[in-house]
Amino acid sequence: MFRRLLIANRGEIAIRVARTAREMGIRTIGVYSEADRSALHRRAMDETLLIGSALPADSYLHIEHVLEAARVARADAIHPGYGFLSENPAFARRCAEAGLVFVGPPPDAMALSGDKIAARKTMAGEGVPVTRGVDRPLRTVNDARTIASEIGYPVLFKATAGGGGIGMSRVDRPAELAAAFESARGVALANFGNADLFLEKYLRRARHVEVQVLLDSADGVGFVERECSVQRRHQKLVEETPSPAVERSLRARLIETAVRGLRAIGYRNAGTVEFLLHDGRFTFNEVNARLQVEHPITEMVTGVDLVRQQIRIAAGDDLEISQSELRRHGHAIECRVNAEDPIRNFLPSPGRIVGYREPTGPGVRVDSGVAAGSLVPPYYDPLMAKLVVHATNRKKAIEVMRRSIDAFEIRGVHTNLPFHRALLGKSVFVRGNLWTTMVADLRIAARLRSRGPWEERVAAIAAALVASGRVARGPTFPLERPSVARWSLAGRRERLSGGGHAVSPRRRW
Amino acid sequence: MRFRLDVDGEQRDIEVQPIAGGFVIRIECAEYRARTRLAMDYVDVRIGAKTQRLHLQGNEAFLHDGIHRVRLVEVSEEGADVIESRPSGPGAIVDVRSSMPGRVVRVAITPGAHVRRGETLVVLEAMKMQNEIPAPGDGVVRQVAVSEGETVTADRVVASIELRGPSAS
Repeated sequence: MFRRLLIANRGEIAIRVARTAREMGIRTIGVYSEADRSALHRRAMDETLLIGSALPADSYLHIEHVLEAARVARADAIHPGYGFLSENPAFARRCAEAGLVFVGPPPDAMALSGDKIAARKTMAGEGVPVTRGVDRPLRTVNDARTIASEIGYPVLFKATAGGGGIGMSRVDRPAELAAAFESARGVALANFGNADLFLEKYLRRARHVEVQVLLDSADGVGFVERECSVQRRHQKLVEETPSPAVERSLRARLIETAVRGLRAIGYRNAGTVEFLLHDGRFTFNEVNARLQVEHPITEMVTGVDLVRQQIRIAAGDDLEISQSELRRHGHAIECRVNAEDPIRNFLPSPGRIVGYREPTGPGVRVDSGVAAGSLVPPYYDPLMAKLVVHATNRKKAIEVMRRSIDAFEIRGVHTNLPFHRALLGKSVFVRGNLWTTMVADLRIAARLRSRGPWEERVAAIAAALVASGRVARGPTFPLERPSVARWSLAGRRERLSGGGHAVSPRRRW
Repeated sequence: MRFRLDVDGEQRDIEVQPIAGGFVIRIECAEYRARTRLAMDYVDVRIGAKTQRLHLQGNEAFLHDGIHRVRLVEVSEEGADVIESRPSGPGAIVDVRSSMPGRVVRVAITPGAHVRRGETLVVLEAMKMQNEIPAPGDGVVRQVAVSEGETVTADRVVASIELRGPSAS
């Protein structure tokens, strides 16, 4: 087993990986950029090293800097987390050359997964159903036009080297095709350094369902599917397992297909096969060659620590579970808590967190990268924390999630918690009727007015001030009084707060 | 009525509009309809289905969840700019401000350039999302206050435009 693991990531995932490594008796080495000097993930590690300035390209994405840190810290393995260098085959190869074990798939399998056309072709060759489309890059607009009219509109342009939903462009009519083709090429070139596009039939009201797989040299385990249909601009917001739309026989077919597909590309370690579910049929979407953001919901319903299995596989140890031993209990849901303002069209909201309190209680897990006083820098992903709940069934899991959202207090930056609150209140969500464009189609964010309990309190205080005439004279009217010493205030707050449940005010005062 | 309220050390710009039996409270695009009932030493405020009883004493608000320290913050001239509506109409010089903290990835204008309403002036990037700052109206660029690669805070002036045509605000 490894003795020193370098975790080449930041935020919640770096902390989550460090927890498991520590349980396994492995010394953890973290890295950080200049923008993350005071970041929480540094405190979760045994040692940390500075790897560059704030911009990702100069630090977390900088292969040389990360490898140098591993050398200096005498690491014997690297866990990349998700994002950043996690799906970069060149990085995985460089690790091997430097004598470091990369905790992830072999570089060739990773390269194949990252080439969307190659992955599609390989899967189709293995008998995995694929969405109607082309298996080669589109040469010209006319080429695209011919194929689109053969397949029938709407169609979806995808970047061959794409990922994370970037470079996808839906075309409903022939007249829109030329402009969409050019702009999608531009986006693909800018983001992936490769302008190649292919296209597939666009499936209306499809569900996004995926299967988590663990593969070592001998065994393979496919887990119960996760449904990730709640998305905005192809970014997942809420995930759950199992899917409310998948019954036993379909589940068996999904799992069998996913394991077979990953084996066919020579895959090892943890990977996920994404499918689109449409009219009771499923088609291959893509392979995610890494640990995914939403992996905790699978851990909650199966009791399997996926990071532990990843590390074991990388170290050449056996999987600790087999397909026949795998059991699942109940239902799990995850809400991604992002520093974004859903009332202002999900505008990024970096800044200083001035108040922070996580929900707790049975069945609640929070994987967080922030705490009170944390700075959320503008340079990285907006994900601050993942709120994960587990209960005996879907209905109860929704109830636990609702109260957990209300109990999650993050002040100083805006969060998308009001969006989650609104979504979980929708009868369409409660019924399990989900599809990938539901957030936009139902205008869930556009109808938001309230931000939640804290702002409601501020609004109530403002209303009371105005109603009692205290701000009758306009904005500069002072409301001053000698300030209370901090300790006496804290003492009083302690006595009055009583755990946050609503007791009638009269009894309190 | 607009004012800036500091609750437990966190400042919020607040707009209050009286309606029958209460107020509409706007806090940074969020909106709350509050019904108020005034008594001798407390105020009952109903927002949605929830009624909260508040005692106000000095600069503290007593609520069932504890005490909140409340302060009305003097709105400075510069701050007032942010909350007051901006001047509009031909000849007016309008400061265009950043919508969010982030990094300037593109400056699409130079001083003296003619711009049309809605045209992109500056592109900001934060958290892997780009946000285009549009011209508020037809006009001429008088000043460009940021440069590419620079990191800006929210509400920072990025450019000044002298309006020539219809304004958005």
